[in-house]
Amino acid sequence: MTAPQPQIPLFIAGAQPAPSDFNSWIQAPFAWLTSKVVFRAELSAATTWIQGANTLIPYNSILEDPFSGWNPGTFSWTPPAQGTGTYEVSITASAAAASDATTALRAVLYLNGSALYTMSTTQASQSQSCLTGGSAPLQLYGGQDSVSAYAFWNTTGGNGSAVTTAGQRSTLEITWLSL
Amino acid sequence: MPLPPWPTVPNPSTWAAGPILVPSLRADVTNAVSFFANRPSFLGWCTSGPAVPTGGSGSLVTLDTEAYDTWQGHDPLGAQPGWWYCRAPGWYLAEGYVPWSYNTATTVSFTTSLATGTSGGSPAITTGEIHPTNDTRTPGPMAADLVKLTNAWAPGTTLPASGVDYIALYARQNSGGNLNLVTVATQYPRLSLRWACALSGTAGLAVPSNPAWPVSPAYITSAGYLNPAIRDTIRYLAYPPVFRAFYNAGTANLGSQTFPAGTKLALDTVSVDTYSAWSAANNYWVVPAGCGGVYCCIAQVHVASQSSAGSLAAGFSVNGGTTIWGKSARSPSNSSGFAVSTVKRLRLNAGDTVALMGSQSNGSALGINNGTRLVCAWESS
Repeated sequence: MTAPQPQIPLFIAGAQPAPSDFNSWIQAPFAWLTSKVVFRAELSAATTWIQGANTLIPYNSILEDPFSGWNPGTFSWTPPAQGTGTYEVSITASAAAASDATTALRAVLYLNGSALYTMSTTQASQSQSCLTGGSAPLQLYGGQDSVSAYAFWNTTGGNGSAVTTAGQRSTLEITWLSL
Repeated sequence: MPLPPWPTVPNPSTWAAGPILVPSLRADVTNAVSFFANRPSFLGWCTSGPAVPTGGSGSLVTLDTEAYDTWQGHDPLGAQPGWWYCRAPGWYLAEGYVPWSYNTATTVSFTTSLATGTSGGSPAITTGEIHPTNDTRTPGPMAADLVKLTNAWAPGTTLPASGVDYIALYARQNSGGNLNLVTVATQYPRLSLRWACALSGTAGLAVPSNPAWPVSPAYITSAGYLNPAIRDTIRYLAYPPVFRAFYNAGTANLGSQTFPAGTKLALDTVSVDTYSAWSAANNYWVVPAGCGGVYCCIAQVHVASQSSAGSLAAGFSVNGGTTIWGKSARSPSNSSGFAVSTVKRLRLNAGDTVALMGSQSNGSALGINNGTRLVCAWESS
């Protein structure tokens, strides 16, 4: 997919446009607004959450990435060069049951390797999986900025582990919202 | 914000045989692209760490800092720095997050809510997550919802003294005293929102195919190209499949289960269903024909107070398959109730069914409260 991000069309009275001009003015922006830049991934591999620290979520199952923005080396996603704009990011972090009653799990959105937002914080159960997360927007430069997700296993009771069972996995979804 | 003349919520004309006039193209295509590519949206934070008194309906969170405010609906230095004024009528997807500087083991319930109102009147507060917490770990409930804003403050005009709809973020706690919000930069309380759908429009359209402009010797006709490629495309993008329903009766219970087993929850009140796709008999929403794509889905489960500790989870069931859980949290015993919420982008095909799933492990059945809701909003093909 190589459609450019939508340009506001300027129709000039008296001009003699070619059909290709109408494709640029009408088809291209509407195509972008219909088939927006999207990315979805989940984590299906065993992963350890370090106690008391943010741990990068190493998503390994890429569900869709039509603009090939995912970097499997850094576990981050970069929008296409023509895709500068505001994006909505949804993160879910999951963890196996905690060892004590004072553990919490937090999902954190990172931009260019630095923490930007906390999505939500959830008190972890000792008898079942803990899942937390939320959604937030951020503005990205196409071809430059990188987005990643972290899990903060807030405890002194030892490391935690990601849940990889289908339906309980850590996930990351990104969609373009606007210029 | 786009430069004037500011775009309006698109409502395209029907093309008829005759010349293709530039004013018509500007009115429909330029306006629509400008609006959809620069839709009203906002992200603001509270960085001051205010003290929030206990109880009541909660406190309005003042948003002293903006990341962006594309249509200038918020003024951090104005009379209402906690409000975002509606600049274009429609349904808005909104999210809020409020963390607290609270690290003791005494149980306190924390609630994040979204509120809507009309200036000059009182707000209507809709609950988001309610987290009874005793884990000493800086609680941070969130809120996510689809909200309706009808009365707009027209761009280019002076803010009216009253009668303009707004959205705001509320925070509540029941410690018995004052508690402060967090002032850590990566954990600031925040509110974000963006325009998602018009209040009315044409239902039943499929995702636009966006064909190329006809090349001679083909003819450009209103029926063959102009209406499908321009009018109907704009109509779809302005009024896509969008759904919100909640549970209001207050009579149903959610039984105790062992996670990840869950229960499909009934929803008896529909707020919006642009394509009339909700099946009340089956308690699921059906993706309309021709409307497959990526949907923003919000699931919230809200239960009554608990006499013992337990966990609560919220998720989605697509086509009755393995539940897609998005939130699972523990709560100590409480008198406030418990609510958890999740936001996910799901790729759904036409005909897929989406149901709200809940699971709780309290040991006994819990009443289901009216913060229980499901939202599905088309975002992309």
